[in-house]
Amino acid sequence: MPPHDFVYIEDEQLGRPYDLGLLKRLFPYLWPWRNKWFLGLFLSVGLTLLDLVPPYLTKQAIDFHILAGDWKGLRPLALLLILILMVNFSLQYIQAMVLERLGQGVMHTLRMKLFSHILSLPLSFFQHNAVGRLTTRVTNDIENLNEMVKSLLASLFKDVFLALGILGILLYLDFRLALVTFILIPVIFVCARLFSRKARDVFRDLRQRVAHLNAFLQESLSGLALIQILVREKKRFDDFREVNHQAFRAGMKQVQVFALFMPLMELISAMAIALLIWYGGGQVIQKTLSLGSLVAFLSYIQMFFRPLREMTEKYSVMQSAMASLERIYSLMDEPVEEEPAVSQEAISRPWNGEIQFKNVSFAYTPGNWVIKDLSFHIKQGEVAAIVGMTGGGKSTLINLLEGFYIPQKGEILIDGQDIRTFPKKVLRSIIGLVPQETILFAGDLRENILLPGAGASSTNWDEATGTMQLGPLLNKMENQRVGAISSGEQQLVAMARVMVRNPVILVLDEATSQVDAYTEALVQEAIKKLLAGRTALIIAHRLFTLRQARRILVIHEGRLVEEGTHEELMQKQGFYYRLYQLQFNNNGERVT
Amino acid sequence: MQSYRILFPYFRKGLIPLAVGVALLLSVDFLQLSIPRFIKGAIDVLTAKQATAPGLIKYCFLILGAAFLIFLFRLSWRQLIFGQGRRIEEALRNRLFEHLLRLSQSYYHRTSIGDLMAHATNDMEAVRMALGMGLVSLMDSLVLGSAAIAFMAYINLKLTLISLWPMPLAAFLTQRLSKLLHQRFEMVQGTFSLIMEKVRESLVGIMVVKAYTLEEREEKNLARFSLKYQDQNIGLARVTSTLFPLSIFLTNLSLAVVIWIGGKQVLTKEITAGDFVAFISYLGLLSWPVTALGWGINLIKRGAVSLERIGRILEERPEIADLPGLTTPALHRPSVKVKDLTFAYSQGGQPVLDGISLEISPGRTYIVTGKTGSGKTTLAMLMIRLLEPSYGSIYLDGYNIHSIPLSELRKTISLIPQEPFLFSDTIRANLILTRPEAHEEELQEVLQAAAFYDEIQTFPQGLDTVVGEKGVLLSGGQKQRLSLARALLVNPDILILDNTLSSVDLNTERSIQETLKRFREGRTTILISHRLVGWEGVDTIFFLEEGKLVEWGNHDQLILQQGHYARLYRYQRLEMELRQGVF
Repeated sequence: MPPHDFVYIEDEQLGRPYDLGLLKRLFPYLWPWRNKWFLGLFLSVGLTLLDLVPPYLTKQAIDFHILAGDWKGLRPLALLLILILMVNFSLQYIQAMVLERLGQGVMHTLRMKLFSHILSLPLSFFQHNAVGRLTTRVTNDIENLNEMVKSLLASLFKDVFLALGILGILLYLDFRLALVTFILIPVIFVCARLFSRKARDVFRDLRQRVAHLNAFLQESLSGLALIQILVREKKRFDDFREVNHQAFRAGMKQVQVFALFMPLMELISAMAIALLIWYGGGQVIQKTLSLGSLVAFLSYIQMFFRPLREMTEKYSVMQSAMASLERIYSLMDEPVEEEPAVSQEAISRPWNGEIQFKNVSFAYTPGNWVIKDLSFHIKQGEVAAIVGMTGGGKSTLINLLEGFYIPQKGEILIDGQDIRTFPKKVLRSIIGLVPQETILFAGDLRENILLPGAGASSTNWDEATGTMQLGPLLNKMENQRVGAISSGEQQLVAMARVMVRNPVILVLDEATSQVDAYTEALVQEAIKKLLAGRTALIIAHRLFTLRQARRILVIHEGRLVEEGTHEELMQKQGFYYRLYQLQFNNNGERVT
Repeated sequence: MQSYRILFPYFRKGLIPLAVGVALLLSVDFLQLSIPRFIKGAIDVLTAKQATAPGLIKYCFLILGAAFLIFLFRLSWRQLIFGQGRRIEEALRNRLFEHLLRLSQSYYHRTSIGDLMAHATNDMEAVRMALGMGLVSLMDSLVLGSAAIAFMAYINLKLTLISLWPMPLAAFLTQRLSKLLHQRFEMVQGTFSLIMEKVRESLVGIMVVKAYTLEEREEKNLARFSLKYQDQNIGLARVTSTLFPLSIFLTNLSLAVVIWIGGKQVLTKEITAGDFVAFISYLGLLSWPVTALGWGINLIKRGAVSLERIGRILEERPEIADLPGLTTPALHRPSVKVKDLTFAYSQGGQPVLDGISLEISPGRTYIVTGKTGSGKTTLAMLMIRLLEPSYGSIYLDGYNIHSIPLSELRKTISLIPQEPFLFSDTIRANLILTRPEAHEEELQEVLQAAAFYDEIQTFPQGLDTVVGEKGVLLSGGQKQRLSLARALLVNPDILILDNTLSSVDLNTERSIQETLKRFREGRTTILISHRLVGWEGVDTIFFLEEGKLVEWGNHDQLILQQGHYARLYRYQRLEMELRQGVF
């Protein structure tokens, strides 16, 4: 992972909290869960109703029993209350679980979909996008959605229900008193609106400052050697102090805004109580309101402020979730590798493995031709070695043959058929690639060799591991994670991988690292076996492989400059001859 | 909790605002408790059927007055206490950064920047949360909770005891479930990291995944973790969905008891109807402390763990620092003498440099060459004490470099690292980093010497073009030339260029060679380079092989030796001929 690839400097912009266009795209993922969703909503309504009951029961107790002197009626009331509480408790549990399953289910589906999409993106995409950032999409960004799916679908509805329910019950209890209390509602809304706007600005500013601080910190740490070399520690620290102080000030702004809003809501709620006691108390005196109703009013009003506060808190959750959703979709919109319309013939044919490059030209970036009008033909069962200097375009040939990149000019044929007409999976199962560096996955050695992709089967297992002499290593490392194995062993594992797949074409990018004489003998033996009966294209670094090759193609700056067997080319005393003399000593050992 | 010791000095500094904040916080608690008393008063007046409008208004104003004071006090304590938390965070972060600036390269060799970033962000945040929210909820819940219970007991002890019986149960269950919650949370976090690692692994090996058509396998593997994660999250939800409703359930259970027993007490005149209502209000006040207590403790514990991690970094002593009482020796035309220099990253590990001895005379030009990993860069880093040798010493003008102040040493010997590092600022700011007072003509001169001046003229903003994060807007060669110009602006006595021209094309390198000669007239230049063609005129070439000095001498001598240098030189010659189309 490149060092600059940190999650902290993630694009810090916030999304719009309720972006319908984005939500619409989320809908197909929610639809399969509609039963759970509706159940959750239904439970929300039930829970709201249950929340409204206890204050009403208190009112009943005061009006009909306590003030009436009927204490026998209190017991059933208390028992009813306990019953309701228990039901409430169970329903809350069920609702939370239903929502969790829903949220987790949606996340899992979306995560898998996103991951499989990423895997099917063309290789060039990965050259421009850091692995760390892509990983964040599949992990943190998806995680952000969980909270949104849950709150959007249930808590938000519940909060709205509760607020409306309280308003309704207040009207039912006493029409006039309710209207008097409602005077405060516009005040609350104006405050909440002002606050959410202010909070958003402050929050955005804070996030930007913190992002800046983190970027500064990270830059300093990556450039620390330079700072120390140039003796700039003092200056750098002074700059940091400034950036840090700006973040502090933005933080203080946030503290101030919240310090004002939360107590302000409490103040309004106290004003509501005072209003109730003054006006409602007057009504009690005039006997137009029961004492119990007044007490119930007091409880309901306090309850009313809770969902309002929660709705404001959810706001920031929604903002960051929307930003994540946007990033996820922009990744989902990346075009995947081009696949041709599959012809049945392409899939079922037995392949001979004849390779032909016809006037192929290719550039990674427009104008910079890496391969220039290259043509060659490798017949079935022929072994061709490619040599040339670093940067001459050798590995690009592999990229083109595997279909990772498509040449701008010319065509590449396998058995006379243009590889552009092959489904990628078919093409890649025809070709067995041994890359220069062996990538080991988590899992044991056996799993690492078998790697169940297209064309893999364990029928060649014994032969493959036998040829590669991997028996002892397999025994030693049975059922444990592949740890550090030597570079020679890595080469053998990479070749065994190809052997179990038994492809007709072998593409071998020889490792440059030197191995000890014993392993070298094993590797050479393995290469010989691997070549038997296959068409092979080898980027050769060993004299041994050069001698195995029927033909050597000398590539320089994207062009074919010489061609022939080792002996022929040595006699010719041209490019290959000089290259050989520089790279190998008299014993045929590689020296540079 | 030991780890909070780091913060004592900061606490001491902000003691007064903190004390005022806490005093206000506690006042708010008591004012909050008084409101149910006023409600009780009003209800009592109402039930006694002797109510008059002015009597009620008195209670209304008492409630409003208390509410207004609460508002003011809350406004103040939030700013005071949370502000203090942020202030401490700022100070601690400054201290951490200043410390990180002083730590040696060997520390960064074994510590990942990602981890350090995590400490500087997540851990700092945890500390702030502990000092703000954690502290407040702990105190608030303790004071508010016990005071509410005291007020209830004052109304009627028997009713208090009967109604509060679910509380110990609540505390016990909450504590138990919290532990479970913590365990399950850790598990979920663990699986989350596994998912992250799995995704990363697939993407790092994307070429193999595609070549071997392993897409399905990778998806299946991830699905396994993803499903496990899903199940563990549901398991976690089981605990959370029990924990929070449970505490509400238990407080409400008390309400049922109060209605039953308390209602009876009103009838037997043990308490008044106002007492009854006030009691219910106090119960309502209790539900917050029950949840907040656990939360506060949790935040403070988490803060302690984070502080411990930060403390560990702060305890890390810089291995490379000036010995006390160093004086700056007068250096004239300094030479460098390296004696038996050996270096390994870990004790007993494979040495990167193995017994190197060489001499650098003033005013000459040198090349240090050899394969990647032969120790060339390490040698340069040791010369300016970015690393400390395992064995052997280096002398500058006859003084052991340990007896020269670091800042002096690094002003005398300057190294341009292999990877040109630019700060995300303008070209000018990057250029004048070490000499802010440099004149415009000087800037022009060094940029011309580095063959970069004409190109800068084509940028719309010229010298004031912003280079972007880590200089991403410039090409590799441009960055290298800018970093060369920066070094020439300082023009130190000894300049080490570590592969500084590797991304510069051959023709440009030629022209830089010429100006470099003029610029470095009479000063010492050491080039660490793979590229040998064109530098045949240097005074001495050192060839390193696996940490050992295997060949040294001038070009002609080394060609005659027919060794490593001669072979590498011939290879590069051929390469150049091929590129220039000699064939």
